[in-house]
Amino acid sequence: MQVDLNRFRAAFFIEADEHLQHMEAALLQLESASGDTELLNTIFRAAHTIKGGSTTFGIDEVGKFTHVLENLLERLRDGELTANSELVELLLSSVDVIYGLVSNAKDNTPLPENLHEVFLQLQRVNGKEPAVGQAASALDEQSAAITSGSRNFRVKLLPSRTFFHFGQDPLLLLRELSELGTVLRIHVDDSQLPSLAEMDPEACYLSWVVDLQTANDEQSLHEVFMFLDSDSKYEVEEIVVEGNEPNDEGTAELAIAVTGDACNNDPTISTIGLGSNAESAQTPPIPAEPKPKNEAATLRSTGAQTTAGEMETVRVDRQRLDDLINQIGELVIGASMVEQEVNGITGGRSLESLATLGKVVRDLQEMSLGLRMVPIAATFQKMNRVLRDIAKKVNKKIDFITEGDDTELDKTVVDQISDPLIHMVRNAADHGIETPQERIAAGKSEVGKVRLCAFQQGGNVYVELHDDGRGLNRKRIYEKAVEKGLIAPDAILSDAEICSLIFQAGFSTAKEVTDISGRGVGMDVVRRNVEALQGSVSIRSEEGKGSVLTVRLPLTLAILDGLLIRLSDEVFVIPLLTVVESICVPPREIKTIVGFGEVIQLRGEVVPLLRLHHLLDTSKNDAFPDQNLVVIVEDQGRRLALKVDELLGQQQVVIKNLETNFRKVPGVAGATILGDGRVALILDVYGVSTLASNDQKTISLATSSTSRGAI
Amino acid sequence: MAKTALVVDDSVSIRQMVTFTLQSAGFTTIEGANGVEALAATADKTVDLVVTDLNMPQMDGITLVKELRKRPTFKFTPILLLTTESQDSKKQEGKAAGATGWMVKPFQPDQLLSVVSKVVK
Repeated sequence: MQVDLNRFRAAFFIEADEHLQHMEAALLQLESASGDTELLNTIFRAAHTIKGGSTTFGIDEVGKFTHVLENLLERLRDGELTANSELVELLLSSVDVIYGLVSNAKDNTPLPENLHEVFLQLQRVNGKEPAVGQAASALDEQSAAITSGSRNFRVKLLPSRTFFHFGQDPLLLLRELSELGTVLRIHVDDSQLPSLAEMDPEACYLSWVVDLQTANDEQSLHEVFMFLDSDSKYEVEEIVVEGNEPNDEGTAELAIAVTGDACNNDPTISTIGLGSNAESAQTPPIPAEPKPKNEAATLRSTGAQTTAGEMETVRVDRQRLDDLINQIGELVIGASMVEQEVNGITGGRSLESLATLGKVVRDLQEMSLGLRMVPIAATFQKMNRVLRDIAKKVNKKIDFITEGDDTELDKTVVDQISDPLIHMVRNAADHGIETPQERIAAGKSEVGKVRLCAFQQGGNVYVELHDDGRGLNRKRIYEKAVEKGLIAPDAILSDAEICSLIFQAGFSTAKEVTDISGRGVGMDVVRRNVEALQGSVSIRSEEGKGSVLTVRLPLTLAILDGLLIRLSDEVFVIPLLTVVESICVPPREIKTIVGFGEVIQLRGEVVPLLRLHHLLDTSKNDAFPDQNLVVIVEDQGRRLALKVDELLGQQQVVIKNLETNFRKVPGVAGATILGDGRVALILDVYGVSTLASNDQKTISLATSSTSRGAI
Repeated sequence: MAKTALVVDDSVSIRQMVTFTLQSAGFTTIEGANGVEALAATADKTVDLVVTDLNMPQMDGITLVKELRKRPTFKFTPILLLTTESQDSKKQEGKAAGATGWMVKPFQPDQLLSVVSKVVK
């Protein structure tokens, strides 16, 4: 629970910063447009939100200060006060003070120097200052709580005999106390303990004295005992230790006194200043003037620096970031166009400066992609919840561990990986991990283990889901695959091939369909989702020991490793991830199966052949009709042979979305601009295969005629 | 061992909110819409925490606290009352009946958890 709060605190700090910025901006506008209710509302809302957040998250200093500020703003909003330049000035300094207080709570920076001055002024404007003395003491109390670094308290706890019967626990109270500060000394009074014969085991005879050093105010100590029953007693008193402590106290008091003077009796200071100047007879009085100003200036500038230092993150609109990254992608293309052209002119002798430019541009691109990187931690956190809910539902005991939470991925990838991960985690909990009884019977610990870890390797991020459950049942999977017609009854498959059958569409071995998983839309959906992210998924499994699901993801979706191919005179890009191999097939090895289309035999495996010319409607121009160059690609475990005219090479391409400028085209995932300025379409292998099956009749007709011709 | 909490409130929304909050903190929950249901639901069980509303049909919160405290298994169980600002006197009445603490409505989930952390290990 403690950790949770801290996480919210970080969010609060960011939020507070934003609100303060809004407040500042609105205040600056208010100077020229006093009485603008919308502006006043903005300011009020900001203050109100900061107050709510700070009190909720235990940042009391901010809470107290904004409370007073809020009162003033309320009167301003209600028209009781008018926003003259003096008041705006005061409000602006209040904003500075809150900045300082927030930073104090966040990074332990020193408290803002003008805290008391501004606080006093706010109270004065609020009209809650009937007499100077009272105000001073009120301020004293408030500011003492705010300023004093730490104070010492002696806390006595005298529980009633029936203390336990109210569900109370002294240990909890003492622990809560110790969390408020440093325990200097703790003493147990057992003098009331009767002899064993007389003792009631359910009664409380002990009492405690705790000396505590704390930065919290007295109120928070009282709050520890808010639930004490009426017969129990506690005392809180401040102790002033002789020695180091009075020094602290003294300076704190002094500081208050000085600031108090500073705002009330400004003239005195200047008199003193003049006086001292007058004493050093030769020094003219005028140079004395700039000095304090300079000081003020340096103070302000250091203030500004710390504020700048605190701004560790900047929130940027997603669209602007995407646009920037896109533009840098264009830059990369532009640079490589120039490079090609210059190489052409100089006959391949590349210029040094051009190489430097190219390097800078690529570095720039890498950096720009880094801007969109976020840690996967939040997604992992979500999985924790998912797993816990399922474990409860299916009555299993499961420990969840995450590793590599800091691993960074493109925001787009992180956003989209969550669904497949949920599927995987559910499967692991529902199918993978056995029931406690089964586990004990198998000689395992009753509690199952699921480990989710992420790490970066090369240009990829790997997310692995380990479970120590029952592993995959090969026999069952094989039988099921035969039953569903996914494989031939006599097919000989390797162990890995059997395991990867679970990624086939419509495959599910769960004996009964639960509402958690097992509708047959499990792992093939995972696979499709991951592949849509240009990633891949695989499984290793040992029967009885557990499974490891590995998801490989690209660091970013903005760049793609592609295989450039030529069809007639057009260039296309096939995502390298899907490419298995490329081969030349003699015409006689292309067979036609009626109603199915053309196929080739690849080491005994029958692979459908797709003629991209036909599917993509490019003009047919077979330069080498007797040489069928074929790229074997894999889609969802299914292999396809794509007939192409030429392999041009492998290249990293910047992906351009087709839909933003045109529309979605079946079989095409996007476009890219090549180094020579030409546009190349990126093939979507899944789309191409659907295109082919939709188009099967036509294909089989068209291709059967060609093959007949070839034979 | 997950801790168990008994959540008693006739308002479904409040009960769900409290249940959800406690579950997110790792509690297993048992629910009851009023004192009678709560007593029945826990007849053969022990819990680590009770959170109960005051004003409920059939059996109110104070009576429930008294009934629970009569059971040997609930003698030392922390019991939190859900009260409103206007029910200040009820706090004392509840304390006298054996309640451990209270939570003033309306409250945020994290406020509830911080109060719970005061009374449960």
